Amino acid sequence: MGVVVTVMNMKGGVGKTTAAMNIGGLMGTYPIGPAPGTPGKSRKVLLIDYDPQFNLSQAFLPAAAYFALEAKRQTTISVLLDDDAVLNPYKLQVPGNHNPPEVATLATRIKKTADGGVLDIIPSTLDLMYVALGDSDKKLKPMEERFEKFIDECRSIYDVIIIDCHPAGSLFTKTSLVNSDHVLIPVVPQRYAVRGIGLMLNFIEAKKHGTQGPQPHILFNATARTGISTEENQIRTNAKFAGYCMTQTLKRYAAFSEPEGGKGFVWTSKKPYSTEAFRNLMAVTRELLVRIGA
Amino acid sequence: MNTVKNIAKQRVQRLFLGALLTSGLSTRELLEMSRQLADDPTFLRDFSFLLQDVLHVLSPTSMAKKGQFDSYIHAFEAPERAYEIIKKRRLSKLRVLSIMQTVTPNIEEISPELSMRQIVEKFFSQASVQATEHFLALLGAPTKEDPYLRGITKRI
Repeated sequence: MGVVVTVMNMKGGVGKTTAAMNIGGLMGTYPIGPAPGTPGKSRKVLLIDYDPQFNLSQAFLPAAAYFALEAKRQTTISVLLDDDAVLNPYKLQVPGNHNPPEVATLATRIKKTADGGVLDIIPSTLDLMYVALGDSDKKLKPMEERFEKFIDECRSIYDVIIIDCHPAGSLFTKTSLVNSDHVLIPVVPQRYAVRGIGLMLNFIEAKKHGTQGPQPHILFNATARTGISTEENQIRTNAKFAGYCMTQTLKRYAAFSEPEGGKGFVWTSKKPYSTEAFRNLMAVTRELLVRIGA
Repeated sequence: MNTVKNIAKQRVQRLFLGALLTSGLSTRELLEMSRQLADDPTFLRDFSFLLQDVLHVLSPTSMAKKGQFDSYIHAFEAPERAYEIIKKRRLSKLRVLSIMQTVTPNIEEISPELSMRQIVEKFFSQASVQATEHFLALLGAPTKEDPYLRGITKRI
């Protein structure tokens, strides 16, 4: 049964998509064991781009391929709405059909490794913004039901499902969190980061269904290569946050921000410091896999 | 030797200061940054690494083998590109300064007494990335089209 991880932070500019693309991409590319030197296992990984800005999609797909998929509505919008739904930002058309399309009809294969590892993506589209902005006088239950059924099917196919989630817009955050086992919260140690963590954890708590809710994991992003900042230290020593903090941090390497159109990922890069960046990413990804039990 | 070092240091400090003051950051943001710089011992070390990365990428061998980074190229090659176009088109200093003024009306005045190369370097050290791209476009430099942007703007 696959594990679902939502990558989310309400604060912008924290490297949410950067974290999702690099960690998710590495998971689907390399067999990773629980500790350095231990035998690794290949995984089937699905990336779901659930953000109208579709930056995750741009990282993995060449423009021509992306727009061809979008034209066929082979994107996350089809999880929520039927193919023939008219997109009207002033009046959201709630689908009558509560059954989403099959995962295989929406997932695009990025790579398959010789040892059975798989990396697929369901790209997003600007049209999702109509869903985010749309005002509906009907309840959104059908969309929530479609999303839940879709994720259930994803779990039966993939080992890890990573959802790069739009941070605002109640439908996205609700459907993503309710159907996730874990939430990866990237944080850049900055002035308002500490308060942002508090808000995020409050938010996750509020979206819980009863006692069931996703387990938060705080990932410090874009950290200095050595030392620890005041803000990171503040969060780590806060009794309410300490238990959620990942030990490893994703350091500030230019290599993490460069992927575009399927190229430029750190595992194929020969740029200066790319080896150090790769090792750093591997350490973060390994820790996350252990934390989520995948 | 110390005098040479001091001059180089002062020049770098002036360039940093000029870039920050024309960056669009507010006074409060700049003051906050100055405090953080005083408190953060890792900043200079990280910047040193970054500078080494960039210089390595821009070395002739690296560029031939590994391709280009748009942002780094823009920062370091763009002034040279602009200068070459200006030379080729035989633009006068007054004409170039006029174009610069069009692109960035609030830019600190650049003296026409400077050489053309100095004028271009001073402009690039002060203007924002968007302004310098606009400047290059006005000079007639070919721009690389972004296929994603093309697809997105088709919807407009």
